[in-house]
Amino acid sequence: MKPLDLISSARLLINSDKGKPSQVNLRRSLSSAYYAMFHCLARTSADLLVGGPSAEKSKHAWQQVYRAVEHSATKNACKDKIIRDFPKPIEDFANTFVTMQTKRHSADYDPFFTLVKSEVLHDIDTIESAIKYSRARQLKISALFVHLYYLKKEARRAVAGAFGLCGGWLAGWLYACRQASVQIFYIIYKFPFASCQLVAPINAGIHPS
Amino acid sequence: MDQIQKIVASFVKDRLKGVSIDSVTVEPDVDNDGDRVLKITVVYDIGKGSTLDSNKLVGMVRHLKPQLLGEHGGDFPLFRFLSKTDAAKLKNEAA
Repeated sequence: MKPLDLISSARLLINSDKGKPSQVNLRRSLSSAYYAMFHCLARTSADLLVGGPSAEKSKHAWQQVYRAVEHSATKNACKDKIIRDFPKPIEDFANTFVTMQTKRHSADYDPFFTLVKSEVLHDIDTIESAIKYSRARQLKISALFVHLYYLKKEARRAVAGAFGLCGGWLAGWLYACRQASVQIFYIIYKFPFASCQLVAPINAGIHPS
Repeated sequence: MDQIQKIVASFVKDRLKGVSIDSVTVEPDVDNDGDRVLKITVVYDIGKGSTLDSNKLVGMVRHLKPQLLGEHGGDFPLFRFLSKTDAAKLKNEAA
């Protein structure tokens, strides 16, 4: 399942009724759009930490990391002040994630929440923009941020198990970073090579504003 | 709250230049996790079938946050963008 497929699904739902879409289709459409962001983050995180699902040896670890991303913890990570120090596309992705998770919660669980077509259309468009602008390597740094703080213990163990000593080192490093608070992220972000990688696409005008 | 209302309304009109903004309402609330939010409902009036520029919408929260002051400075701005027609339907359904 690709994240942008969920965007397509959201558009199908909102256009499935002639004229005024039903509330259930609006709710499911908004929920699908949110999950496009969620799966985008999960996929990027797994790719970053494990290196892709293609290698048989790491399939279990990739799956564990993918499934370790938690809604509430990720929302808290996205609201952390440190996000402001990351490139604009990451900050926009994080803000959109917080907004859409809150709306998705209302759409899924609040019986009195009412949606309209124009609102959901804008939400879908905004999510698609947030995903597209942050799909390059910038988002991987964001994913690292989320994982360093909020990855489940089981996933850290899976990573460690898949990579032996290297994984053990990685897990230990993740734990150490988590304990060392936010300072490590400033180091990662300020590190010259990383900074070049992060800033170049923005300077090249990939992000609109 | 009046001050926040003015700041947000001015910000929205500035960011969405060229779009006819019918109303901007700001309402403090808490989300499902109990975190404080500012529910901002923007009602716009553009031609049927037209939509707002998502490239502008995606950065709205980032640009607004530094402008929020005082007791609502830490509240997360939660935007809803509704067409004038849809906003009227919503109002009628609620009545």
